[in-house]
Amino acid sequence: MTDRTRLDGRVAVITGAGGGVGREAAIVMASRGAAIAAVDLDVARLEGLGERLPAGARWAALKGDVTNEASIADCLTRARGTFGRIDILLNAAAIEVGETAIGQTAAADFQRVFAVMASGVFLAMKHVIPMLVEGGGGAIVNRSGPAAWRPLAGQAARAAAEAAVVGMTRTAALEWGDAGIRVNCINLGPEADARGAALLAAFLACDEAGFITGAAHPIGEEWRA
Amino acid sequence: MPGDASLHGKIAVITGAGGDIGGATAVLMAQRGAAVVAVDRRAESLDALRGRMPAGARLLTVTADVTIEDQVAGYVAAAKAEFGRVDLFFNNAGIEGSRSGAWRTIPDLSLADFDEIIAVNATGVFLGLKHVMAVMAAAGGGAIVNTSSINGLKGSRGQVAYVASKHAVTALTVVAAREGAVSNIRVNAIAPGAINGRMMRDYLEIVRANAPSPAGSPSHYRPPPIARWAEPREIAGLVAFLSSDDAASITGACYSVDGGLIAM
Repeated sequence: MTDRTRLDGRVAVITGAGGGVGREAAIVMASRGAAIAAVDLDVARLEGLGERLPAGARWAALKGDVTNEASIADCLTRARGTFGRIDILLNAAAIEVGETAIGQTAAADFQRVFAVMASGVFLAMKHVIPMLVEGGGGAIVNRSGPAAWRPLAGQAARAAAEAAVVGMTRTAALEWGDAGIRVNCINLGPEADARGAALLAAFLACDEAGFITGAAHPIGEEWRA
Repeated sequence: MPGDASLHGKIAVITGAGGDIGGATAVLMAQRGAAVVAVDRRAESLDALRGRMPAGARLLTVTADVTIEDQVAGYVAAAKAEFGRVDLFFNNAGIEGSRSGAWRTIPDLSLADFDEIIAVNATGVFLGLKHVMAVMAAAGGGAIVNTSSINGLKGSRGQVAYVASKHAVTALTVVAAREGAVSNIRVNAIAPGAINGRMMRDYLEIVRANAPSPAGSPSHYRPPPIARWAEPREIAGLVAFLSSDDAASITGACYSVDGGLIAM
């Protein structure tokens, strides 16, 4: 019996792999057989990841800035060069979001949050999709959150970015379903733990989730319509 | 390390186990090590399931009608008597209703046809939660998956009772998750789209024969991103994941498994 939860032979690119959900996902996906291209803005955060991966796991540490189109495109090209193909993209990069009311929020602070948590998702999808198409399909998992449905005062940028990711996830699923690309997002609520989110991401990336696309999956937060 | 979330040693109760989704889930959960209590109102469907179960699977079949509280209490008691507790509950039994109520717009739908669907899909789910949650709470926790539908998230013309019943399932899920949290009970829902099974085949036959304009105009149809029907086994995979310890921090959620249909 084939175990369709395995990721043997797959190549996964993970942004924000230096910590939190990205780091845990690298560990989970590698343990299920995937090769990992671990991307982080701060490569020092990727030191020591190899010790957490199973013996013999194939992986590479790549410095990349998801807010910079040339940088993320270069990362994806290098990942494909190293491993020969890309099957999975997990957009896990995120930054801390401060709490300021809209009237007191500097435009640059808003733009910074949106650039990492929303535009970065767009840029990585833009450049990985042709590579996935070339390989006959693949799976994209984007990090989002519940703020689109349940915003918190003082976090306009987070609400905007998370809603944008849900919208882009659905759009990408519609555009690329014919090409065999599934696109989902994981919506991390306040009770979500990095390990649980990583297990969810690994599930959505595997063949067991072959009919799941265009959906936002809450974790650590109840469903909201 | 196996990638799958093992269900080794778990006791799983599955209603509607004689149907396509329930049966596929019973087989998958048994493959992953669970003992299965298979519940259906049609005894012959449970006999058929028995023949499909993996060798060595622990299986108890119970014939019961989920709309009758005594029978719900009965399948829970039977599970407890056979296996000692209930760890997992796939609260899945559902119907699309009688042919007399199929594809009727609201003014044309009889109360009897409306009530028939609500009784199984909404009341049956409530009764299952009521009796299983008590047993789970006493034993220290558990995981429940309720079967909603894309029609628990959106509307469809000509299907008011089904849509209302499946919206009720998503609502029951959120309340049960809040109430169950203190007892370490997780409660989630799944929202399947079109399944390659008996219900969709019967439904399409009715639509082809009966669909009146304007309720059933197919001219608005656009294929979903994954333009096919799901196999029941694909739904079972999500149920098994949500039931497993891999999903330990997921509760109160409704997970779509619809080929992207709800995203459109």
